[in-house]
Amino acid sequence: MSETVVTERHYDESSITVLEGLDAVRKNPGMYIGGVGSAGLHHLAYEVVDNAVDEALEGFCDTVLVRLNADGSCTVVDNGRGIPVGPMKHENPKLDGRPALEIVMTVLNSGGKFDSSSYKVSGGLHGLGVSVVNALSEWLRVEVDREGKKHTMRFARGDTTQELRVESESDKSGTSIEFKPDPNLFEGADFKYETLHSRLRELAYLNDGLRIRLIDDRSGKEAEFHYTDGLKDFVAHLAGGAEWLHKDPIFIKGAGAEGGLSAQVVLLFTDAYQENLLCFANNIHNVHGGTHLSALKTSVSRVASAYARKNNLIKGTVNIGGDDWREGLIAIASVKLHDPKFEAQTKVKLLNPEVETFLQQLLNERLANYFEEHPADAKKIIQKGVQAAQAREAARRARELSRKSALSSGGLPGKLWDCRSKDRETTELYLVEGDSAGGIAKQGRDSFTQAILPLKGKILNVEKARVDKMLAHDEITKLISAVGCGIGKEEFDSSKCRYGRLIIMTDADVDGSHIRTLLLTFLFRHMRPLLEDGRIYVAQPPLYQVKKGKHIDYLIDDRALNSKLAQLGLGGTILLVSENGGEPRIVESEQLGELCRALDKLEMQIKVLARRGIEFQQLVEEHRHAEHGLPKMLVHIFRPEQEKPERRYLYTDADLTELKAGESTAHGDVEVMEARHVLLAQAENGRNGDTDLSPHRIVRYQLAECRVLDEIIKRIEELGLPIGDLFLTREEDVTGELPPAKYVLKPVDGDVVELDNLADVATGVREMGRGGLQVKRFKGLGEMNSDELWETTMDPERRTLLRVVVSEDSTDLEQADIDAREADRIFRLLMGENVEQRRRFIEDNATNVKNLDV
Amino acid sequence: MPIYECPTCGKTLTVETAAQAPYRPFCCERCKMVDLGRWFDGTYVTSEPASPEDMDEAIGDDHPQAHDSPD
Repeated sequence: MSETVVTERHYDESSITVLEGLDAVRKNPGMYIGGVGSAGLHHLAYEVVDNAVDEALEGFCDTVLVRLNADGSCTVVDNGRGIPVGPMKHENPKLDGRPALEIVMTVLNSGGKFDSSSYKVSGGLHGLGVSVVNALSEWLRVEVDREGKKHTMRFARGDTTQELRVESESDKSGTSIEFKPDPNLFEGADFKYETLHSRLRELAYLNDGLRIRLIDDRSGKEAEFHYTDGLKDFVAHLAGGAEWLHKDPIFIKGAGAEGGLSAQVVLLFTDAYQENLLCFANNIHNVHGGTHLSALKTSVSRVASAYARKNNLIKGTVNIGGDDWREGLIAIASVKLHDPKFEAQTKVKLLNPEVETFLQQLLNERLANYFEEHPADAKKIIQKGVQAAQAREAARRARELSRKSALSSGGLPGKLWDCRSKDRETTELYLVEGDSAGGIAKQGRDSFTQAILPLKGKILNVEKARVDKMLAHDEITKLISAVGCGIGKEEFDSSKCRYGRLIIMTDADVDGSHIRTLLLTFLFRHMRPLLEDGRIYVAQPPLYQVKKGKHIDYLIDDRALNSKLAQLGLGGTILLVSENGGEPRIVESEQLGELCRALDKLEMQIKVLARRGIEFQQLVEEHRHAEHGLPKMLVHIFRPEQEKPERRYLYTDADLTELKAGESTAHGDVEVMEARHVLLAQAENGRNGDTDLSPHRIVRYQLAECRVLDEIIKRIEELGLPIGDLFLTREEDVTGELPPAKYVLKPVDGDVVELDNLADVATGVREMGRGGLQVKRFKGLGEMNSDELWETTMDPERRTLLRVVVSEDSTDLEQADIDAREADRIFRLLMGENVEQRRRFIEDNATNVKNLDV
Repeated sequence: MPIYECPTCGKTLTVETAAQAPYRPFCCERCKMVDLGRWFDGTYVTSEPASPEDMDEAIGDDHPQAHDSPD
């Protein structure tokens, strides 16, 4: 390549080399600058600017001025060393001894950058040299301040019009090139301020400390770019309004062992959905990437997936691809090297293989370190990747499933036993837990209108008391196919639902509850219109079979069983209430029945209270208000200076208002919060959660059960029985004898039963009812035969269904319904990690469900 | 005023009418699809299974008490 032997890094005539002639450039400009349109025109300016930036890379230049002149010409001034002007040795005798400046300006592919001992790295373009610019300019003037003198030279269309001459003394150094692109070649193309603005800013971003000014004399616009943390500023600029997943961009810098190879990479993970990776080699933007881009991509994927695996951050079976890890990633890789090899003259792609090896090694190590040192950031980055994969995979499967169901019955799952009727409004799809119950339901159903789809929970892990379960994913797929209305964003269409009703039929045990919660949550989240149309129901299979002689009854739950037992026990039984040894009062028939029902309800509500940690007896004895009855609210008052909250019972909204006012006066601003919201927030945060809460707050627990209790107490008192008798105790005296009982039950036949107190009356009556009765408890749907299942659970004439609704807010929940929103809440807790919060949440949110006959 | 808590990102959405939240209960299409993906890929595992008592309480008092033994 070069004849010249250079041992020191002098930049003078001897470092200029010549590769070939200039002839072809004007004939075929497109080959050299990519075209004669706007892009080609701007290329000319870039070429000149890049030469100036090369000086800056070497540390000889810190300011570049680009001026767009009124006549369409462009001036580029730098304060570098100035292009050498002395006579140059050249193998071509015609050129030998000509000034270096002339050779640089008139001979293609000549220039300092071709000899790496002169410039360690060199962007320049495009490697063609400023001679190309000269060749394509109507005129070009160059001024070189160097060695104490100002030198000038002029050209027209590449030919010298004024030989090198010294104009004056000069104490500066630098090069100024003014050129006017040849209008015959670049027809109608003008320099655009915005185009140069963005490229010059990019150069300033890439070269810390370099100051670039752009002045447009035509419009008066101007700008100056100067960065000290250029790449970070660059990514921040590229990020626009996207939210950053970490506080500072990740900056990685390193130098290779040889070849003058060095790299700076900055990465910023954002919440955006697009990736934006820019790669530069010697300041040239390689639009199609190349070895630096592939190193960047590979490293991000490798480091992220290794970290995720190591820290167990990926649940489920999702397959996370490189695109997923890079979603929202904005990164810039800038490499500098001696001998860049590009694909195509326009440098769109970097080819040097050593860059890939070097950069990958650098990034693998440093990015992994970053992840280790910033676990919170790393977790967010990983989550983002996982979510990207989940959303992508979901979209794919949703399309697939929706397409299948569009092909009418072709995509129906094999396990579905469809109904014969096609009249949608009269048909029902039973979602049945388990294959065996599914089989029974299939035999028991009305096959004209009732379809059966068995679904199973998949047991993942059983050890000791722990059971890890999920609704196997193919069950979800089956459900979607059977329902037929597609899934996803545009694909879901509730009008395509193949059935009038969907009925969830699960066992009355933990597994059944799980599956029911899962199904309800899924429907709530992804098939919500079906819920809103009132198409989702829950079947109520009986829990008990009660036999007396030949007579059989099915009872849906404990309450039904209790009232059955009470009904049997009440037949003719009377209650004797003895007062101070006088003649006992008799409570019988209707009144006794009413008393038993009241006591049953009472017991239930007492349980609710107990779960809150409130003892009913204490509440009645110490907090029952003469006018307002039991308290209707429990508040926890948190004050900043107190470690533990103060508990207080309130009776009316006015009490709360008063409390709030008092708190504000005494301790400053106070916030009133619903306990439910606080707990939910804590559960979802998966941490203690208190940090986000106002330190001065009143957390309110609504004691809805106390309204019910007031009613019950009133009823008992109306029967003439003192409420305090609920808590009577009978203690043995010194002789071991029990004192006479105040409450005694006397059946029609058989022995009387002495009771300790009023509360025991209901239990006592039921015990009497239990005589001669066979009670069988169904452990699951599978224990019923198909006739039993039909009679009790599926026959539209006799069954009981619960309608599933969606409350806007659980305070307005209709008591008669199952709330899908509540299912969603429970679901979140089941999926959550904090056991204690889950427990507290459930305690506070026990859903009340009543039967609804449909 | 309905309040929606996006199950995916936890963002709270307050809207005047349900129709203003087309992806409800999610805040956006993306969150909806992420959730759907989790159903498909088996992310939703009850990793810390509820005790029987928890479940009964969660379902409500009127519901069959699976773990009482009345006989």
